[in-house]
Amino acid sequence: MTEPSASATAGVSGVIEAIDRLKGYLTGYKPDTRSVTYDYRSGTSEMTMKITVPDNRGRKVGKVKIPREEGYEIREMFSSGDFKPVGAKWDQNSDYWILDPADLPAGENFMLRLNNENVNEGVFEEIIDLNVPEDPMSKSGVDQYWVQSSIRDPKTLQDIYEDFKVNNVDLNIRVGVQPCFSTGIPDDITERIERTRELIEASNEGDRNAVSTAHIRRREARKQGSVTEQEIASLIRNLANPSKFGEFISIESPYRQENIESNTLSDEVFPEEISVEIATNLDLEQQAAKGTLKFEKENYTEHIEEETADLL
Amino acid sequence: MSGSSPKPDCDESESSGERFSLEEFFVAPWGLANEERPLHLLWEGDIAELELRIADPVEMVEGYNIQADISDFVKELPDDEEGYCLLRISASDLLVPGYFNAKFRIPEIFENAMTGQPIQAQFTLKNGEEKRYDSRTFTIRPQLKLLDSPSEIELTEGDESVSLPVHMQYIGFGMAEVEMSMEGEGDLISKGESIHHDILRAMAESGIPTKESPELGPIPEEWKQEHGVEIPDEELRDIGDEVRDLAREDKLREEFDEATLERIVDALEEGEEHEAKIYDHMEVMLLDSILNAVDRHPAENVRMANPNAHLEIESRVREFVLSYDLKDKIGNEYKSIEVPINIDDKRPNGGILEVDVETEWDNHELDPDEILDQLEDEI
Repeated sequence: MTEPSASATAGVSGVIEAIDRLKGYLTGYKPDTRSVTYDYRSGTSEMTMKITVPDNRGRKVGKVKIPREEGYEIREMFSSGDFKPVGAKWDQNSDYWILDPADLPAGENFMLRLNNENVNEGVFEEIIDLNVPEDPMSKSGVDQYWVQSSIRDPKTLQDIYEDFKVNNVDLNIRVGVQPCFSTGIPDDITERIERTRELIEASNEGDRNAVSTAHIRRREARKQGSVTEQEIASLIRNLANPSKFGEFISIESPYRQENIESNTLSDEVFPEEISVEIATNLDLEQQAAKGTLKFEKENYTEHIEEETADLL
Repeated sequence: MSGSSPKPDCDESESSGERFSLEEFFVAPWGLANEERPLHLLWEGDIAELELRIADPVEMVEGYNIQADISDFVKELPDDEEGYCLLRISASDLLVPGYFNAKFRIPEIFENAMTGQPIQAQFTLKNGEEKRYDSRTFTIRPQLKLLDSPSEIELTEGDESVSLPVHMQYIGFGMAEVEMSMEGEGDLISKGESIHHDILRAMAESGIPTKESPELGPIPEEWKQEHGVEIPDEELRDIGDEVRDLAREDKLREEFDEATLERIVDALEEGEEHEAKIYDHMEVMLLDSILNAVDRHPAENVRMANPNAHLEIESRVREFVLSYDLKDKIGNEYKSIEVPINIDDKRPNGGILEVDVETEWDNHELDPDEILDQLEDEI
């Protein structure tokens, strides 16, 4: 066995154990897992399980109890023939979900839909592999990133589930943007900030002549515009705001664009990279997906140029 | 079942036996040397065997949906085939049919900006029929070229500092991480590692945080009223915290003395009065970082580790080599560009010389398609 697939099995085995335990609570009712859907982003799973409860005196024998600490929530239960919801036949107290089979309507087969709100993150990492390149390829002012995601171990998953599906497989692509700012900010603006720097340096050195020279130079530079450096700085930071940036990003199917985040001011006034989150779904028919993300770098740089030029 | 829709003609393939269709053959189109790249194949229909031929040099990292380690599937090449890594996977080696996925690496630093390697997938069907599909992957790299530089610096009486104009060009693909270094006797002093570092240095130099010299370096009142710099308190506090953390790091002990760093840490932790003064300065220094960002990205795809570097050289030194060390985003090291400089010192009294390196950058963007055309013949 390879190292990675061995660990993949370990991750998946955690899932198997959890399902086995769940089945343990349903012993006597022939539990049969019908489908499991994972939501990679929210870290939740939903599963459908078929149970068989003979419509006879046996129903009176005992109750089904599922410890709440397992993290499952009973969402729905319906008759498997007519898909009619059987209503709230489950009770809950602080420790258990409790079903009294005696309360069930006529019929033998029921489908049970459960949610698990706290799936271990590691499980997802073991199941899914995500890839994007370190560097984009630029063509005609557009930065392109290839994107690929895949299921690592479809066999084990197939063995466990009749239908296995992973929703919202998220990929984070860090799109490099700092060069856009460096080249997009007009020289005049840069020059004005430069004059401010000179003034600060001069004042820090306590040299009166230098302060006054720097002050005059700075005033000269500022004559061209009425805005303050603070306005320049805040405008620049606004330009990196996610919703504006999103207009310059596109992604092809089967991927979808989700969130965009920039950590402005974590280290620099401009973000070095803006994180673009994209998503796709994978299942046992589509074990892998490819795509391309495009960032219109030249247009974005022009946008920055235009916005900052207005200051002058 | 799932949301994907299998092709109709593949659905009933069981009875007809040899029906086959390739749904997807993906190979990471490009990557840096040593960067892990994926490839996957999705197909419909029964096969006897899958063979993958990847041109050398290549290193298989891992494989998914196979019975054993990927290395177990790497086969000896027949005598008449050379220069390939051959992977042979029989249908029974696959855990589920119709899917293979692998990760590979190209462990070579190439000379060219873009180097292609063909990858061929060959399916052998049960009736012996062969289906071949071609793809390829490209290894990209950043490249630098020295366009112009003086070979000699001439010093005459009174010269204490000179500027050294160097004209460089970026070509190639991917971000170039460039750091200047120097060989010969002298020191390369760089400025501008990070905004926090800048602020820390400015503080240390100004003496603002010291109790001994409270008057040193006040920003002129008139200017303060006029500049209107206002950055939200919260951001300033965060920056203050970062600067304080930085001041505690050991690596700064070389640059600043212990007492100065301690005073800065203390001042940042102290009460309102001191904070006000320090944070006042931080506001304006923040603007400084805009300039640093501009300096650090002198060209589209170049990131300088030490954009404002200058050299300090003693008078007896007659030559040195300035070198531009090049790495890519994942740390592959490429051949440095070396700029040898002679010093003709005509100063009667010598003295320490400061050399400001002023690098001008050209960005020469390559068109990937153009290069692809050129590569067509090679592959």
